[in-house]
Amino acid sequence: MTYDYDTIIIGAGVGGLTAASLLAKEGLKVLVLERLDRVGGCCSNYDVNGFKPEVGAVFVIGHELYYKLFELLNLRLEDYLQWDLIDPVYQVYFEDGSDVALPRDVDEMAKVVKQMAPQDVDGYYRYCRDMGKIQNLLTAVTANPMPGIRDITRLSKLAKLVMTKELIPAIPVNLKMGLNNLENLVKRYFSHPYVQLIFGWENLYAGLPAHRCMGLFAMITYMGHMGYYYPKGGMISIPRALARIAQDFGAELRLQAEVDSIALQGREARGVRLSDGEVLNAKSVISNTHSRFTYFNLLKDADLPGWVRRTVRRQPCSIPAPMFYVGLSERLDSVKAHMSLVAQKRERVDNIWTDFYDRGLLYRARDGVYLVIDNTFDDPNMAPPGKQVLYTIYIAPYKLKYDNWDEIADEWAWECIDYLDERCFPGLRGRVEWMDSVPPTELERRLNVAEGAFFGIEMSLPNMGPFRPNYRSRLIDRLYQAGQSTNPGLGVPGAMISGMAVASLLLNDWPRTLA
Amino acid sequence: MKTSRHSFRIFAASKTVPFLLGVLLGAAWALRLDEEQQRRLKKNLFELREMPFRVFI
Repeated sequence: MTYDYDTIIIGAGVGGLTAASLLAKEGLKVLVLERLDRVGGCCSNYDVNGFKPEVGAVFVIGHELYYKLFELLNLRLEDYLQWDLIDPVYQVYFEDGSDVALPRDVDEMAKVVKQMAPQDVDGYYRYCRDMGKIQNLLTAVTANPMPGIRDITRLSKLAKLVMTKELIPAIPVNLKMGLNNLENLVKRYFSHPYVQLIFGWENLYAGLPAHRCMGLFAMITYMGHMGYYYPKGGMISIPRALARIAQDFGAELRLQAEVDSIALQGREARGVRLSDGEVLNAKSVISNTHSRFTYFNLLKDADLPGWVRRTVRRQPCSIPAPMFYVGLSERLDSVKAHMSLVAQKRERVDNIWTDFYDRGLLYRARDGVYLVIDNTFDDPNMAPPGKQVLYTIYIAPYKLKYDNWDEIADEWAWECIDYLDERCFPGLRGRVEWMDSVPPTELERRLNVAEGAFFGIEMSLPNMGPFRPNYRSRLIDRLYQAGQSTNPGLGVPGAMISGMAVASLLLNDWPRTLA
Repeated sequence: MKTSRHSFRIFAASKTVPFLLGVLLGAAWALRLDEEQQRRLKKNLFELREMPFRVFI
């Protein structure tokens, strides 16, 4: 049998393009297929009349990993990506109408905490000391030279990478954070409800209430001190850079090429069938889509046992991310940061889950928690000159008990806009030139993300380690899985790690399995 | 050595009684939980049941 490609990658998201660039560099003949007319998947930007809001990911965190990837590619990151430091990290709006900017500098932040709750300053420094131990470990690990691409999935090599003198002090902190939920952990450090909110709302990223979320998420706020970055040209610059690298190494990228299914020969993946009927043969297939989409849509022809699809269907997704975008005819000076958190106090963030989310109910706008992102704050080119684009994410269930998202999404978005106008951004409603409301059902249609959850599978212990979807499918030979759903909760770095791991596994299987 | 009927009964009771006692205590504890705690318990039991299958996906 002759093969058109060594590997075909379904989905030009960050995971797929990472794998494509690494594999193409190793000399494999790679084809990347993307259904949309742009790369990036959930790490991308729309473009509507010059307004370019983010699709999902909104900032770069853990930038050290990007350097490690470029180290593997033998390239300089600066030649492909430029980014700006986000400072202040957040602007937080509280229930009493007050708001506070969270500076990047630790001592400046301590002053903010002191103003709000002097009794929590000691707790803040204790928090920084503990988180700093983990940060030191991460810095030491990233300072070590990367093993070769074939070795990064070998446990002995990984252990060597982690074995630094910073590991020992980090172990008790890791245990404390891993064994405590976020709610308890934050209460150990802080007593004031507003300070607890500042350091304990990251459970939104995990798609879980704080009492079900691992304490490790408290690290995210601290990482703001190490730097959140925003790439010039928006988040889409990251997949665009990876696509350019992959193509420079010889990979082929086809946009607007929708894959109908994975072509099988027995229990082996042997290529893909496109929606227009074209069949492409390959020695292996990498599915960079949500695992639920892979098993239900791409493997619809596979004769899999019933328990497989049942298990995939039952694997819980993280928070659906209903969102709306507004393009403003004129800049709003009241938006003071790249990201604004509009909330009440930390308990309220949790109550949304218990009182509304778990019951399939939609609350009134005034009860909501909103993350408002202004990407023109760091890069004015993301909107037409003098204009602004805001992207708002909130918490709401995928399925509403009494309503239909497609019918109420616009009405609900306008209610939220009115509320945000009244609460923290006066003049917002009057300047809206363009609005796009994207409920979870619409996001699912646009990006094929199950339940509109762009954070992928729920980040909880029963979905991690051996319980998350495997990089190398255990049911279909020559099929690999990458992307957000294989590394729950880790965002863009998680997708990038999955791309590296899949490339490594595939190269190690080569030529033994794939010859 | 031959096991007498009496010693067998003692052996069986030593296993069954603590088991039944555990079931009763567990049920009593579960009945006392509020709605949110019951939801958490159900979620944990659900995850526990699903985890072995996930290893093969």
